Amino acid sequence: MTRTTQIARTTGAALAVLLLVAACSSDGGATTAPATDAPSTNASAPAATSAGGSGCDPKDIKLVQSGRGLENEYYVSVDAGSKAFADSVGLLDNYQWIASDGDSQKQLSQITSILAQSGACTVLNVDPNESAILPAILDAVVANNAWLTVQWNRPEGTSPQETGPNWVAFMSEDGFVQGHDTAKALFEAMGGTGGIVALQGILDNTVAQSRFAGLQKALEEYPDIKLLGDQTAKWDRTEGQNVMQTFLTKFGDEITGVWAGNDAMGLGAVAANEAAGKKIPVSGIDGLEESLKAIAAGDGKSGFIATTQANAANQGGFGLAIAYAAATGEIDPTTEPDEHRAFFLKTNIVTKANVADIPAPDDTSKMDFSDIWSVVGAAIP
Amino acid sequence: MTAMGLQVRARRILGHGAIPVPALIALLAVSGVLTILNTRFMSVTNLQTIVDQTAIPAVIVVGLTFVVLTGSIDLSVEGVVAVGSMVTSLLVMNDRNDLALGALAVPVAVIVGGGLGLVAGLAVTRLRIPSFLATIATWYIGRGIAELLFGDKAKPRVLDEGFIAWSHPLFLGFSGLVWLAIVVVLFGLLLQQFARFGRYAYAIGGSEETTKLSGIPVRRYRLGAFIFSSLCFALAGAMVTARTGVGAVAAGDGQLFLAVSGVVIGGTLLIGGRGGVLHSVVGVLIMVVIANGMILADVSPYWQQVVQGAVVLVAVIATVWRQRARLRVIL
Repeated sequence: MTRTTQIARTTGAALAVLLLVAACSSDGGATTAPATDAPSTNASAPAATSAGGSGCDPKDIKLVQSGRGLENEYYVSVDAGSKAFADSVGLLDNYQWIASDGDSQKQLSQITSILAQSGACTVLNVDPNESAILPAILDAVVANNAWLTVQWNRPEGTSPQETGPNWVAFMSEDGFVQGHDTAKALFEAMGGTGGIVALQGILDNTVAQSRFAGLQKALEEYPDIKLLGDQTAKWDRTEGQNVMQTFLTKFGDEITGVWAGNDAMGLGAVAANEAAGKKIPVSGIDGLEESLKAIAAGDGKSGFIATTQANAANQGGFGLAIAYAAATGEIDPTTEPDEHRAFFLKTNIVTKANVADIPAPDDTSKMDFSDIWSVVGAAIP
Repeated sequence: MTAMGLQVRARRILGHGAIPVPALIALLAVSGVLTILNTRFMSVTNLQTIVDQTAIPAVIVVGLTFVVLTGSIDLSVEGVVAVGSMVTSLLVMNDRNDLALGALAVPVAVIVGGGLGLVAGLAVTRLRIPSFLATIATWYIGRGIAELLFGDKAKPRVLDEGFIAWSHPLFLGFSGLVWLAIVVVLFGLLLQQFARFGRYAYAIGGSEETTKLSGIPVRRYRLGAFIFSSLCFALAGAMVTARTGVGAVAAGDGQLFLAVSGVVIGGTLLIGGRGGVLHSVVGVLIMVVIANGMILADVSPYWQQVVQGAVVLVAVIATVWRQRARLRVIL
């Protein structure tokens, strides 16, 4: 091999690595804190003095929202809700969104970097990438005496009550109620009789399972509705469209309704039905802006007819608000009742009847943070 | 021509692997089993459904096949599809901006996607970076571009009814997208059989050294293969947008597995030199048929992936059995 090709090869390999690195860090994430800035004690942390932890001066508080990435509409709305809260307490400049991009280790290192900088006055609202990463996040939060609200995922047997004040609250959606109530709205649109097919989310996902369990409960309540078939469409729109097409060839006109475990699959099913010239009602869950528009534009009998109101902005805004109240000493988490420590958010069903009053998922203009417990639905048993 | 001559001729065609015989046998066998499980499998509407679901992955594998024939791989599928989908959705009439280029949006999206292929191709041919590494990089670059275009709003919705109508039945019960895919497959076959681009792709995959020694500009044809595959991926992205009515970063999710398994099942060797467009299309068809047939056959969704994986494994073993000695090279 000549010297030039050798050089070319080395440069090439270096370039490829650079390309990869550039591509991987293009999210503008928050992993900017160099390791040298992260001493084991929080010497650099402002106001990290109070032993009890509560009573941070609001202007010293750092607000942090951690989720997967903003290419996902859900997190766009979470971010909007978080910003709305930050704005309501005049701390928009202290607010930071960090993207884990589905990487648990990245999420953990981002959080520990921020804790090293702002210590006990860090208010975190975290959607753990997977429940297994939560204990490590909790350790870091407790060690720094910071304040944390957790969304969606937690390992079996862990709870804010047992962890202490630093894990202020855990909130999640009630998949069972969502599945049940959207199914009821669908069955009513069908006149209480007929045959449905169900599009499920990823099968080993607990949210998918509880939503489907809700549907089955509703089926028991409506004996004239028959479940013709159920399949997974992996939460995905294209997959929903494909599975619906196949259902249409399998059951044909027997299908008079479609229950979908989320809006994306439901919208895929609507596209399949439209292409096949079928006028049947479809329900979803999540309250995407597109679904709201489809419900408003429809006749309430066919096409997209029901979903749940999105709670993403609430999860962002109220998740921060609750942890913020603990950081400022406004509440003492340990004396709050169980339904304030681990709870399901309220589930509102959207249909043609009320869609005009439902704001878009990222519309935060009507959010009111005066009562931080206003979004509590029920305690999680 | 004598019967003997015909026989020789037939054997030559089959023996040379111009027709993907093992893959077709596998397709027939799978279809047979699925028809026994549910006779509706062979109904006209179901066959239309299968063809409809094959259209987009078929366009992807047409492009991928040429790269694989040269002995490289292109993993950038999902990133380039994402770019194609986002660019198209933002250029046709949509709810994000006032642009309304109509059908012109598609060539623009395809050219943007082709740019990614140019980057990957130059990295492979000029800088001698292994293709899997270069195309993983362009996959992420594509995804990054798509995310930038996505911004922080809801998915851009296509409002151009004429564009959406591509996904509705057009002729003989097939949508415009299906006909477009058929045109792309035929174009791929022409390239493969009659153009230098295709013939040299086989030669390069068979033996790059020999091809180079015979004076063929190998690097130029390799580069061309990467550009062509990206053009196909971006077109597939535009087709996803027409089918779903939205632009999405996730438009290509799952397509890489489908495309690579389609290519392999079809009998195109990953080390290059053997196989072809038709092979890969039949391979994709097998994958789609299995997914469709299992729903019709009421296979529990919990078991479907197991069955799918097992069938892929069996199909791969059956189609590459004869080449196992050669394949050992890449293990």
